Amino acid sequence: MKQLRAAIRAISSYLPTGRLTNDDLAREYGDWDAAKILDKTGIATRGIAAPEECASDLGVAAAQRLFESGACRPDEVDFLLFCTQSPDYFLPTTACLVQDRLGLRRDCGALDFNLGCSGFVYGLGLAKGLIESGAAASVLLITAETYSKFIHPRDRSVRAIFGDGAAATLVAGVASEADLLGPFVFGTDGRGAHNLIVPVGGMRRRPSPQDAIATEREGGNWRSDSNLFMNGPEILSFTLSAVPKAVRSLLEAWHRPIDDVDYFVFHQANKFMLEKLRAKLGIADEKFWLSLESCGNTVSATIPIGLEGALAQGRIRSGSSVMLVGFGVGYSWAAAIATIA
Amino acid sequence: MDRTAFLTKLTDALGLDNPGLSETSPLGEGIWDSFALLGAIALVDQELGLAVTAAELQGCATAGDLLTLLEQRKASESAGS
Repeated sequence: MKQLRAAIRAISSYLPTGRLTNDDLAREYGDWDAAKILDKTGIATRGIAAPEECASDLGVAAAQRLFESGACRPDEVDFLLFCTQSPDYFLPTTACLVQDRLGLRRDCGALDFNLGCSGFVYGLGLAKGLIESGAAASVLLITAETYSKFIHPRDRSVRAIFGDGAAATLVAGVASEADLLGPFVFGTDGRGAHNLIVPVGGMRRRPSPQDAIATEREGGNWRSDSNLFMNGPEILSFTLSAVPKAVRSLLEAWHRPIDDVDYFVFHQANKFMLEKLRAKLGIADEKFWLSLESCGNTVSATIPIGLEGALAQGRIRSGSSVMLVGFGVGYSWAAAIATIA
Repeated sequence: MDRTAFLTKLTDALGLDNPGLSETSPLGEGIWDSFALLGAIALVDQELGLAVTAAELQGCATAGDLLTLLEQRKASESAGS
């Protein structure tokens, strides 16, 4: 019997026009060359938000593209979910600002949630709950991030990896006999919180003049405690342990083997990590999205940007079962099967 | 674990030139840049199914010490399973 099922209906992304290329990095860091950066990270260039350009601006631009595509009108959106870790303000909620700028109805729900690389899959889970409970018919999920604003210019360990960007995803109800979004698995391990963190700026540690002073840290990188810190080796170790377990749990919940997955879109962390994960899980190269070259790691926007690209290239078609896996800061992870309607 | 074969793979993972690592090769600060740590963590996961931390790798004075640590970790895991 057909029921109203939540499904991904459309995706549009937006990258800021500011760019940071490998040639730029090689010029700044004398002992790196552009080809080596591309080889290790899979990234050639990254979008960088302008000083006055915030996550809301990127998210609004992505949503405007979605509306211009004809996927839906602003007045058809019942709920706005806005995922970012670089909000415009502590308060008000960025989603409220975005509701006004996009011209969404005033009886539209809107909330922010603070997650990083797992945020898109979490957002899909929240959207599914809203739709299948009958609370909303159409949910606009915006994932938008400007990590570059946290990064010290002399910390190449993170500067080479992260890019700014946003995606707007329309999740809406479709009459279907089978689930079109799900099952989901979620996971959290806060013991790893200190391995990917901006230590100063929230209420735990308010900014002081001392905190703005950068010092030389491991590997010759410079940063202050107001900047982003990532312990890359520990993040890799966590990922290689947690992601295969999450994939196995998801397949058990789905009651189908991994060969039944038509395509895999994982969080685009970096090429090295993704290749190790793909090999460990035994996923064929042609079923695995790996494309960071023109945007870098855009945190919660990487999976929808990947889905948009895979759809445009015909790698995903109507009826495809796609495994989505997000993992990172928190530690936090989530995985889901999305059937393209 | 075939210690010699693992050392050959570790040499590749760390991007070192020949003659590569031997049991007595020191694993000092000159070895462990971020790419080397990533390569070693991935290799240990791939070959042995073990999760090692950067601190554990950096705490080994020689390549032989690292091999011994990995053998102990593997034995401990086998005993616990």
